[in-house]
This record gives sequence, C-alpha cells and structure tokens, in this order.
Amino acid sequence: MRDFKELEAELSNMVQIARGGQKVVYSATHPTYGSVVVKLFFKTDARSQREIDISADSDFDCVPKIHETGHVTYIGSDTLYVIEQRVEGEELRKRLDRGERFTLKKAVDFLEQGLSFIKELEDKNIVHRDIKPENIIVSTDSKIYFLDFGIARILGVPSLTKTEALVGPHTPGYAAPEQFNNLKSDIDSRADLFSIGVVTYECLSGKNPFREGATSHLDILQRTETITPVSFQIAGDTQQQFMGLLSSLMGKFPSRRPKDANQALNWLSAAKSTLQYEEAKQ
Amino acid sequence: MKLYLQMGHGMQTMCKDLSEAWGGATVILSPQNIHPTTKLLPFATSMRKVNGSVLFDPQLYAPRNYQKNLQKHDYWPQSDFTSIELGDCRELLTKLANINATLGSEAVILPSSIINRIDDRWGKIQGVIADQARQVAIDQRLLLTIALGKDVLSDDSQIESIILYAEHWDVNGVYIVCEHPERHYLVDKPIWVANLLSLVAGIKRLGKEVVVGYANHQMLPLALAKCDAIAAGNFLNVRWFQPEHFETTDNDDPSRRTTWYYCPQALSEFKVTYLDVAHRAGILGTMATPTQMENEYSRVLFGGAIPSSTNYKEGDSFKHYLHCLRIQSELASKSTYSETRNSQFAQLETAARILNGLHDERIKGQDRDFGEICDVNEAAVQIFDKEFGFAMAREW
Repeated sequence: MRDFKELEAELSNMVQIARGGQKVVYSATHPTYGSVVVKLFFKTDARSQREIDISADSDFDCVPKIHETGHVTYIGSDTLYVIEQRVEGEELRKRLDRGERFTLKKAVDFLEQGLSFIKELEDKNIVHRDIKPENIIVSTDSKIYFLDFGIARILGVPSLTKTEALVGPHTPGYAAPEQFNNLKSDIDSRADLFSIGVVTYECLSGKNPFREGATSHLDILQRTETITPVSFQIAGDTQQQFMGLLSSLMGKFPSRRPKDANQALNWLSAAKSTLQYEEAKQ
Repeated sequence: MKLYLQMGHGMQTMCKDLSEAWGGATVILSPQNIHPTTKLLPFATSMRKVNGSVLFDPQLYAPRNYQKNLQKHDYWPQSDFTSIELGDCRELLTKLANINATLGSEAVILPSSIINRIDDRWGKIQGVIADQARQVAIDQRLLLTIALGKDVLSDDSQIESIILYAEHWDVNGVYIVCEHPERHYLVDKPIWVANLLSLVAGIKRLGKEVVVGYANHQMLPLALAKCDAIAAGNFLNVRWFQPEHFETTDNDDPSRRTTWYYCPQALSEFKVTYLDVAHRAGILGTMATPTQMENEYSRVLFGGAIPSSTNYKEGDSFKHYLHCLRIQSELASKSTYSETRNSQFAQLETAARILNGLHDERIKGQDRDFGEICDVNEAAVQIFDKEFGFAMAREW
C-alpha cells in the first residue's frame, strides 16, 4: 500500500478545507482530473463505504463525480481515500448566512433541480435523508450539487441504523418527523421531499421554520412535529401556488405530501404558469 | 359522493321503496337485522328487482360478545375467537366470500375488530386478513373494515399510521366505521372531524375506494376528501357507530320514539311539535324542504295544517331524511376542490343563519340541532384545507 505522501506528490495546490471526526477533506489539482476534492476516511465503517458506493455507482447529474478510490497509509493507518470532482461554487449555508435570499425565479429553479435529483434517487431506491444547506453547493453557473450520502438509506437492503434506536440519524430542522422518529417502514422519498421543501422555504425567507426560536435539539424536533410553517406572500406568486406547494412538501405526515418527486415536479410545473417573475423589483 | 343505505331495524321495505323511488340504491345489509343467513338472498334478490345492489357487513366488530341475532348466522364463529381476532380466519373468510358471491354483492366487506389504539400488531393483522381474503375471493372486490374506537380519531399520528398501513393492503378499498367521542350523535370536536377527513383523504390518495358507514349529515364535508360513499339509515343507531349495538344485554331499554323532521338547509332535525311552534310564529316556510329536495314524505307538513295534526309518520321521517341526505351527498361533490370547499362553507353559513332565526323563536333541535356543530365543521374543513387542500386540489 502506498503512503499518503505519494498520493500527495501527484497533486498540487493541496489545501485542507474541512476536518471532522470521520474524515479530513482537501482541495487540490490532479494532473488528469483537474480540480478535485480529496477525502480521507479515518474509519472505513459500513456507513462510509455505503456513501462511497452510492456516489460511485450512481451517475447522478447533480452529485460530484468520484474519480478514484483506494487505500493509503495515513499517519500509520490504513486509510480509505476518495478523489472526487470539485465543484466551483459555494456552500448554500454560507450564502444564507451572508443574508442572501432567493428571488421567486431562483427558488423555482432551485426546487426544480432538487426535485429532479430526488426523482433520480427514487429510481435507484435511495433516500438521501440529509438534504440541508450544508450539503448543497451552488455552482458559479447556479447549478446545485448535493453532497454527503453519509446517512442515505437504500430501500430494500439492511439498515445500518439500529431498529430499536429511539431516534434515527437526522439533522434537526430539516429531517421529516418519520425520519427522526426512526419509523423505518415509513421512510421513503417523501422524507427528502420534506427536506427540500424546508431548504427552499429557508432560501426564500432566510429562516428555518422549525429552528427559529427553538431552545434545544429536542425543541426543534417537537416543533417539526407540531408547527405548520407560516405561509407568507412571495412577490410574483400571484395565486399562492408556489407557497402552497412548499407547504405541501413540508406536510408533517407523508400522506400530506406529494406522493413522489414526479408528482411534485408536475405540481411545480402547474404552479409555474401562475407565477410572475419580477426580478428587477426584487 | 354517494349515499348508501345502512340497514337497521325495520328497513327492508324502506330500502326497496327508496331504491324504487331513486332508480337504484346500494344497501349495506345487516345480519343483525336479517337472520338466519338463508333470508339474506331473498332480500338481495328483491333489491335487485328495484335496480338496487347490496353489500354485506359481517358485523364482526366484537366477535366475543353475545348478540342473539348474529349468532344465528352460519358464518358466526362459535369458538377460537383468538385466531379470528389475530387474523387467522381463512375458513371464516371463505364462508363470507361464498355468502357475498351468492348475494351478488358489489364487493366483499372484510371483517375487523374494533381497535382503540393503532399499533403494528393491528396493521399486520389487517394485512393478514386482506392477504387471506385475496386468496379465497380471487375475483371479488375487497373492502377492508377499519373499525375505530372513540379515541383513535382524536390523534392525527394514529390516523397517519392507518394510512401508512393501508398502503400495503392488497384490497380495493376500505369500509370505515368510527365510534363518536363522548357518546354524542353530533360530534362537537373539530379535530375529530378533521382527522376523519384526513383519514379518508389519505386512503383516497392511495387510489383506494372509501365507504364511511354509520354516518349522518355531519359527514357531508367528506366530499372534500373525495369519499366515495357514506352510509346512513333510519334510527340513530345506524347513523353513528355504537359498539354496544352489537351486543345483546339484559338491560336493553326500549327507546322512546319521537317523530323528527330533518330541515336540510339548517342541517338540523326538529321534533314535529317544534314545527307547530314555527307554524304559530309564521315562519314554518323557513323550514320547508327546498324545491330540489322536496318529496312526498314530508310535503304534508307544509300544506297549511298544524304539522303535528298531519299524517306525517316515523317512516315518512326516515325516508325524508334519507332522501334529502342522498341529494345533499351528491350535491356536495363539485367539479373542483375549491368549489367543493366553498360550497361546504356556504352550506354551513346558511345553516347557521337559519338556525339563528329559529333559535330567536325558541325553535331548537335539542341534541340534533346543528347550531354549535356549524362552527365545528367549519373549523374541521379549515384544518383539512390547510393540511390537504393543495394536494387535493391538484389531484381532484
């Protein structure tokens, strides 16, 4: 097994961009692949492997491509590495934190891309389960990319989460109630529809409806189960059809949401005919 | 939304009369009221002669309870109730499939016990019943019973659980019966009504048929949830689901009978003696049946004589109620979701306005007065509209 230093030698402009408990992430330039991200996983657990497998096996249009995977010796340990496409853009969370708000047109475009991604996931029986601003990159040409399949679920294969666990893996404020309540038999793409609805709502309003004013993690979960996000008037949403769709996506129970991403896309398509984009005024 | 006839005591002739008058009607047969099993076929045949059709409710809501008439049926279990309650009932289902085939039923209503709390065991048992029925009633349409105790509809998370289980049942539809909270004929809890709407809408969105049994005019907003049919009958015990109705006890008190008049525009029923008060006050016309629902059964009340002195009898009262409710049920469904919702609000506002006028003259419907229930149903429709409105409008 080659040493990490050998891999490092192949790369240029290497800069550490993130470090967490599970992995360290660098940006770099690869002689063949160009601009890349290099991820080193400290522990090759089943979850990390599943994340890599999903990204590598699925040719998603809006997920960075994996160029290469392998093992290196890193600080004396056998370490899994992944070299993937680096998207030139910015994390959605950073844009929101700077106070950026989406116009109606931008929100429609964002939601359409998000729903198309969820439709692709449905075709492969995958539920992402962690759609949130931190896991979304907006590229310089406004295309959105989804990252991190770390807690994704492949329907029909054994779950990596303990069935008896009181709470399932989730990010509070974005996860649907059936997800954090670990109701596994109830999990399907409608959990992702919930999350993309919340993110779009936040992009328009600047506020996560369940996190706003919450005092703790548990408080956020309780709010997600009980609060109906306030419907507000969006300039150009002449018949409240776009807001209606967002409310439907954020329905606290799956039965209240669109049945699947395709239906949501159809509803979005119908809503678009009622929208008047007034970009200059916004 | 259609109105089916929920058979109760003394309804056989009435069902045939109404089917003849309406050009056809669907009756949900009650084995408690037609027994033994051999008597079901002659009635079903006579219904068909007047363009009618039948469904057969096995009424196995509480199979352990003693009910003297239900015991007389061949299919009624004599032992091993536990197996039946746990869904292991292939023999029973075979008998029911045969009865339904003989009767020429439109669908087979599958049995289920009353449940007070939805849990995984219940969901699995329902699934087992559906699977077994699919094997023994291969070509028949199946409606799986969902029999809910009074507390279930107070909790929307339990409603969601039912919908999620229903996704996996291999049946054509469901037959919902639900006990009312606090033993009121008209339910005064908006959340309960809203949750019933959610349950129906959730199952309809799965592409399954929904029939709500033991219903009354308070269930007209179910049209908003795209409910296929509600079923009502003559006496109150077939207009709201009362579990004790399926048990024979020593203290079955004979009920005091009064003749009522259903004022459809006020969504309320009044004792005929209160129509006398309206007559004296000169406002009886306000209570007269609207032209589109006018019928031979109640016309005599508005001919100028003192209402209680007319020949308006209990049987007329029942037929009048069902005639009006049938038309109201059909009119409740409009061509769009928003039209349907707006017509529900309009109907409730009209009823409230008329009732205000009648109450000013001290004309009240006692426990059948819709005065406070108008607000309940308005709130329920509002809740439902917020939670399901967008989806229902798109899928209408």
